[in-house]
Amino acid sequence: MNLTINGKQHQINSANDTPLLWVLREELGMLGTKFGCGKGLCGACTVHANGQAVRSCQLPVSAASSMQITTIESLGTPDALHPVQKVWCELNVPQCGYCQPGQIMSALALLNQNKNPSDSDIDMAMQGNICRCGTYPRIRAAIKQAGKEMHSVSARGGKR
Amino acid sequence: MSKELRGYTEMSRRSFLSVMAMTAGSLVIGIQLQPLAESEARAAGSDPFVPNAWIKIHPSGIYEFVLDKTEMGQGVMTSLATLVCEELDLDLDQLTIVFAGADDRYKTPGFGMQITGGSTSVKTSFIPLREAAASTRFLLVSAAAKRLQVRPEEVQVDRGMLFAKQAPSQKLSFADVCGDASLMPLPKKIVLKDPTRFRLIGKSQKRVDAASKVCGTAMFGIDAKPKDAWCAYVIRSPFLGGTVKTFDPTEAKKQPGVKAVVQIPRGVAVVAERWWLAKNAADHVRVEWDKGQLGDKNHAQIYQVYQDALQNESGKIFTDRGNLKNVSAQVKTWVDAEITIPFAPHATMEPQNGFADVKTDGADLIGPTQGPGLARDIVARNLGFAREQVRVTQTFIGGGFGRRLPQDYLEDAAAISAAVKQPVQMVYTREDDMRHDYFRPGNVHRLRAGLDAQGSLISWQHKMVGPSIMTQLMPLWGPSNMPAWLPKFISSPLANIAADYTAWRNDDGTSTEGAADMEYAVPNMQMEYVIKDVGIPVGFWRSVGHSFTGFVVETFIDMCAHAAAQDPIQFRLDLLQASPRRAAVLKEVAKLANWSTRAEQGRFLGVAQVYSFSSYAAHIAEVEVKDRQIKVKKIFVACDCGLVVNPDQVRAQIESAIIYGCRQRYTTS
Repeated sequence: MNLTINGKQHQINSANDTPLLWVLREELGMLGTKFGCGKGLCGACTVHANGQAVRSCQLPVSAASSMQITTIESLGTPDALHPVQKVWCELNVPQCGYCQPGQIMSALALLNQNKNPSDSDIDMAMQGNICRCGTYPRIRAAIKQAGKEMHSVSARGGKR
Repeated sequence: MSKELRGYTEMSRRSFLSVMAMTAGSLVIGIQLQPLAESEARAAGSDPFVPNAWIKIHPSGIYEFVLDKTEMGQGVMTSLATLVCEELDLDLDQLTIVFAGADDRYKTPGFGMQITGGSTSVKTSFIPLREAAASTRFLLVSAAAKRLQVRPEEVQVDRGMLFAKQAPSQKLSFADVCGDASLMPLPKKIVLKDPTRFRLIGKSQKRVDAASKVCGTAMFGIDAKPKDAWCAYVIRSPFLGGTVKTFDPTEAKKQPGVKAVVQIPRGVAVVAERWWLAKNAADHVRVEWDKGQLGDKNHAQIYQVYQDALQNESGKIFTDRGNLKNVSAQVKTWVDAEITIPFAPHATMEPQNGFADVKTDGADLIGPTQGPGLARDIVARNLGFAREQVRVTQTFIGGGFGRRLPQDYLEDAAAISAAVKQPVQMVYTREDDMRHDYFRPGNVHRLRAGLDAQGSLISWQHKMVGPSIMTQLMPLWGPSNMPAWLPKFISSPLANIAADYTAWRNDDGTSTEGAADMEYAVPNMQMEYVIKDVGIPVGFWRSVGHSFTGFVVETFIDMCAHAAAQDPIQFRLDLLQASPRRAAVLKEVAKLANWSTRAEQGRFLGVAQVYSFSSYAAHIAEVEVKDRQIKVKKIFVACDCGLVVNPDQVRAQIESAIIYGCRQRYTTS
């Protein structure tokens, strides 16, 4: 079976019903997407499937094979951060950091639809992402700030 | 950008600094710098200059800081790097930070063990780390002075460059002079930077680990599996403390990818090429369990055991002040309460996991541990190795809160690896993680207070029943505190005896902290604790005893204030006249929350103050109650935590603690 991850094709040997999360982590060695619960309850495994935020622990790889899958690895690197990642760092959002890739993927899906989300927009979009360290207030602030920065970049006609 | 190495680096055995913890109670560490005569100490060729256990200056230009604490979100990586950079006048992104791993040179003073916990990292590192960095600076400056042919006092240090005041264009880097620095005479006295000249300490910094965490490249324990190692899922008892009676692996062994099915102390391990395959195969194993001490007691039954002890048993009297019997004649109003505290899970986002590669002559462990030295000692004992034969590499931790202090996850990985003779990573499911925890103890409290005719609080009686963390842990941890040369057949029984003695005397202060030493100046007071262990594993949970004694004491003092028809803050202040720092945070938070005008404004506020682990805090919660649902609108905080290294990090921790605490619910009757 073929999978398209971050624009690249991969030949997969995992069984059809293997959750995408475990294909990413165990077959492809892509460890940025995290295992938190395996039940779609915590959001740590969030990736994008055709631009929508999905819980990869609940997506069988057979279904994923027909989609464009985007993971945290596609956003940026410590030396070349995505604007959302940059704001996350500026506001010192992460503590333990385990939930943050999932948080960022959910946040980015929201911001791609709406660069000026209200508090209840943010609640709705982010309610499936748990943070035990309690960084929620900073996540909210970072989403709003990232939205502003992304908006001003796109208003100037810039990329991302 | 701070370049974090992956933490596999072991401390160089050629480091010759010994860090000595002084006698019990003292937090002073003497840094003994051995004579630098040995040629291996010299930074020759590509060998680094290693002036102490924390700092390595590589001639290649890498400035390495060995972090001997675990980073689990609490920010010590940044704070401790800040201390080093302050004295060396480096920027944070000029340091390459590696985790220390198991190494007795890093035993935390006061604990006698290498652990991260108890809010001790910044406090116990503040002087020693700065001294290490300052003495390193001294040697670098001496070397530069000699090269530049000036006096050391004329050498300036700026972001890794050394130059003479009078000739600033002639610059040498730390890397340039580190070879010579290793030959310089040591300072007779280490001089630390004067606080008035702090560049970094006291200012908010960006976390050095934020970038890797937002990119998903930061390596947690669960990410640390070497590519070809096997994966294990352990089938665990549905009864806490239960053990395997029999198991049938036949069907499971036929499942795809399965390599082995083996029994370990805590259950049956299914081992496969991939964890997903191991977990699925586990459904095919038939296991029969022996129930442990707890059996299948339910919540009500467990708490009935506590209630019975509350009524019928005596424990240790931790505090006995004045004369409760005599004073009762003066009591006009009695206030009574029984408070039930639930067991609380840690619920770290990263499920428990550990990696072990056990060979015939030793073992390598990798995991998200808060106690690398403990892991080494316990696994070495379990496997019959000497401590030196076990090496522990630590990773970032996806949530600690005390859960990673017991080393069970590394014990399990080691047991599995030893059984299958292969490197193995063991990972919990979320369900197992929530159930197989070392819970914050649940307990019951009975309180009775007496107010006199003037409404003054004149008597306070508090009895508590519940399990004891120390009696459960001492058999495991005790041997680590004893000399390494003591053989297992002596150290283990000794630790067990100590645990039994503690239990017999009901003497566990981690259960009573905050209650036994309550500072409300009630003239007649008694606090009693009965240890009752029903077989639920318990452990350290964020703020330990204070997590429930804070609630109990503050709830009850509030009830007393209301019974006395007095303002809850003023009532407290009247009893805290000998505790100025507690009084100060109370007054400050009252101002912040506009406490005095709350009635006119129609706002409902509640207050609490706690001193724990060296910090004073007072919080006011503004709440709304609608249809019996409590909504917390706002929390106001005043915190006195002494000298602050990183203000934003302290703020982040307070925000974190508030949300962590809000998730617990308590019942009062």
